[in-house]
Amino acid sequence: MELFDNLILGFSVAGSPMNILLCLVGVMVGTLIGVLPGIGPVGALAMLLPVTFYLTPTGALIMLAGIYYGAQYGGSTTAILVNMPGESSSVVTCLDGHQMARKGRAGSALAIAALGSFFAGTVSTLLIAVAAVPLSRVALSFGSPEYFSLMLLGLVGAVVLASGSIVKAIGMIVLGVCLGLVGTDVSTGVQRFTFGSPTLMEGIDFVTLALGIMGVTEIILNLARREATTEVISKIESLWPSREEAKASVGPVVRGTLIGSVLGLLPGGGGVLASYASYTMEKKLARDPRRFGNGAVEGLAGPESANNAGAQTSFIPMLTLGIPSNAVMALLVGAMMIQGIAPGPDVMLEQPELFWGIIASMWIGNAMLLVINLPLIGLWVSLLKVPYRLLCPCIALICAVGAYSVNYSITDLWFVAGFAFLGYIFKKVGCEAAPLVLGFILGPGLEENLRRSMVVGRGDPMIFLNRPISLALLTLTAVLILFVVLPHFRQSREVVFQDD
Amino acid sequence: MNFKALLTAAALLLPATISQADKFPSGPVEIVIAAGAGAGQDIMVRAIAAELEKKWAEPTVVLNKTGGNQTIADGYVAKAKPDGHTILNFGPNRSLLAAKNDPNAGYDVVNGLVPVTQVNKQPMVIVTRNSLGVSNLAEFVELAKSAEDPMIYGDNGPGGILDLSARRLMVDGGFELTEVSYQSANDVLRALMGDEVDVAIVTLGVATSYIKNNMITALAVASAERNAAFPDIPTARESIDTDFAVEHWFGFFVPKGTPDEIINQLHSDIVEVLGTESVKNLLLNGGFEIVGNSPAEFAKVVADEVENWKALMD
Amino acid sequence: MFRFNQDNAAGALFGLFGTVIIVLSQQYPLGTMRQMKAGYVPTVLGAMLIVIAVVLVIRGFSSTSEPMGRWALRPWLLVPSSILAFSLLVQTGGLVLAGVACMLLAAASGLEFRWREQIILATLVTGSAAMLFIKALGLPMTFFPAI
Repeated sequence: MELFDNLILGFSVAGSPMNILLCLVGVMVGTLIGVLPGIGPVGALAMLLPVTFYLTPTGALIMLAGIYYGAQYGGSTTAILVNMPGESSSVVTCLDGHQMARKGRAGSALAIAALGSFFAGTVSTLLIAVAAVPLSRVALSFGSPEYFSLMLLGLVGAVVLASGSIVKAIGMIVLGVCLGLVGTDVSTGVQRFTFGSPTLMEGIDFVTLALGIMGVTEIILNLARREATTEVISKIESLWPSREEAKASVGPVVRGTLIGSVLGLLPGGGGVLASYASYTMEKKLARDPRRFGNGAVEGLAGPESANNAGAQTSFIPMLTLGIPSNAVMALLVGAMMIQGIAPGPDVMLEQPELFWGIIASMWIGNAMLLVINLPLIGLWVSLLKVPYRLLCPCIALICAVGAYSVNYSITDLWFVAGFAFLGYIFKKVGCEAAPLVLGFILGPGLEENLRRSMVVGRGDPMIFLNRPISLALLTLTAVLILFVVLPHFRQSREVVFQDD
Repeated sequence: MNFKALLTAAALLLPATISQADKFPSGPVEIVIAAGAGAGQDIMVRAIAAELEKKWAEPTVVLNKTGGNQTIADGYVAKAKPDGHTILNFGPNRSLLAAKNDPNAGYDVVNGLVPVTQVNKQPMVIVTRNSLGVSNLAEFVELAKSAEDPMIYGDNGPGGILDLSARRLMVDGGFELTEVSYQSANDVLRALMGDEVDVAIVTLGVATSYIKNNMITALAVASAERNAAFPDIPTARESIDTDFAVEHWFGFFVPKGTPDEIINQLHSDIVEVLGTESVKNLLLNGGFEIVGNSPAEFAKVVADEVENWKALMD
Repeated sequence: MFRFNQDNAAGALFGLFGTVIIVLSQQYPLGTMRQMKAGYVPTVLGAMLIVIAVVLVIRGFSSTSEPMGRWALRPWLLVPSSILAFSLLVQTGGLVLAGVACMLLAAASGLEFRWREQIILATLVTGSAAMLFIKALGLPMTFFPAI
């Protein structure tokens, strides 16, 4: 059958020694970039673009694609080990992944992340092979109102991310959105909250915020904890997930893969939402949601799979329609053009070796990443055994260099320091960083799509309800709000009754 | 050691020292653009920078200075040392109009910067969503004039070439449209296909495969003559009574005060690079026509452009 | 007696941010609901923050509010300073000096600090990092101050 022939073609192309080598180089570079905070896949791809001149089109794309999803794997590693999200999609991994590490389950966490990602990669690659064209239609059916509703759902879901006070979580989300608005306003070109600083005119960088309020703050928190108690950090247990953990991960991995595959299709923001959506779903489905935020394995397995699935399916709009879903895809489009290929709906038909070769190599790349990362777990875990007084300065240095390497800007570093200082204050008053970071990521898109929808809808707010997808998403949002608010009331009612 | 020998030795060494000083570039070169990493202009400039680096054997880096609607990138280059090591790559947008607005700003392409060479040019095309049901520009103008609520056009940010072109069409054609901004031209096309906006003026390169696959409707090309790749699409001038003609281009500029020899050398080096395989491929596939004209010719193009867009300033 | 606990402190913090945001937003045009301009959404968000602040401060008066607990002053002040030290030195002093300063300051915020051990660690790690970033990856940073 046709699919089979195409896959055979793809694997024969991807399996050539040169392409295998390029795939390996790509995923290794990607992992390194993901592990090191600071430079991300966009920066790395931009720098490596000239190298692609010397490669064949297929080879170039295989390598660059490998860097992209390799970075996803690497970003999860630092998220779990030191609470530093390398990519915006790794923020959720910090929540339970890092808590697992603090409980001595780092090896298990890393293993589950790798295995879940591999499963997701395999399934989503199959999905692309089978349904690329119809799925691309999904990408086209999302207009500004749909994006707004989706992002609103994501923001409301962010409240679910917090394990503490809901009011404070909402406050952090709102504050995060405000931070995201700093910079040039897309619709009117006005410079907002920039105080005339050229650095701020481009907006606050995600890396700066995340490194500061999550990475460096975590250093402060660790030191503070050690001051408070003299207990030794719990012994690191086996490197492999326990049977219960493995069983508990199965559902989340499958669900995460599905969510991620769908969300990854949406250009401009879908992939990021995948991990948040999965976390929200798992927390709401769990029998005992209070475990989340404290090392619940479902909170790691689901989002990690969703992450990777989203990264793979985000190739679809680019490969089938020539529409890049994010900056990384745009660079891949550029690489294609340099090679003499005009991306667009024709590529699939006119260049089947390229199309299917890339798809096949995605699976190969995922397999390589699994093989590379699993043995590394032992290495990472033994790093954690280093006494903190020696480890902490190293982490601080990595944060500093990483933050500096984004724009070589000193003001970025000041921001990191400032966010770290602020991050500790927030922690002391019971506010969590993750909702703020999510607000920061989704906020600008939310505002942009809101304003666009209002213009397109001629000022009629009903536009959000008149369109089926948007209506469905908003209904889900309302349901989610109920889910969040009702238990709260029930609890306080219980407390009241207890007092009587 | 006598005096004469010393003089002779010095005389022999002198040409060597002079030619060392003449070597351009004599250090790392920065090419500044106002787009972010991954944008069309970014990819194009990176390809050119990579070839230049090969030729010059000096690090040639691309600096993305987004924000401020081009003013940050322009200002950075305008204030840099005029020794040719800081170059701006620029495409027409609102800051072309800045010259008329604020002649003392000193950072714009007329007053603060000096043209080196035009890299490329590309025709623009006026496209609408299929469901609008118009098949030529005249019908569209009729529809636009009679619409109760103005129709919507998409652009990739206020002040960019997509926006300026649409405003120009509004002025020339005598109708109103409402602006909606997206992050990139690709997003605008997606919005067209999703029926969210009614019309847009985009570069032909970006729109080609969608026009060919009938996913959007091309009303007219925005240039003065018909395009060879699409001989059936009329020009705007043929369709309605107007002298509307706009074009997209990119060119290199250096700060005012850069010596002529350096400008000329930059010009010939860049032209040479424009002929390399990778750059040629990229530009041609993007739908661009390669130009590479001389500084004087380019200066005339810039002056013409400022004139062209003057209508929008009043 | 008035005491700062987690809730009213959080409320104060949000109230401060909300006010600042609203004040800053007034310099931008607000626009209408149909054509929202730059100041519209920030003003709304600032107002939301103030509402949240009020709720938290009120909650702060109830007895279920948790106290803030001990502030670990040394890490709180020294760790961000280590990043600042890096920022002040990296362009003028080069990566090695900046890195060593950063690492020493970070280490100084811990309970145990042994000079010899930390200096050796700092030099080794910064040295290898410099090798990796500048030599291997070619990032534009200098080892030592450009004399």
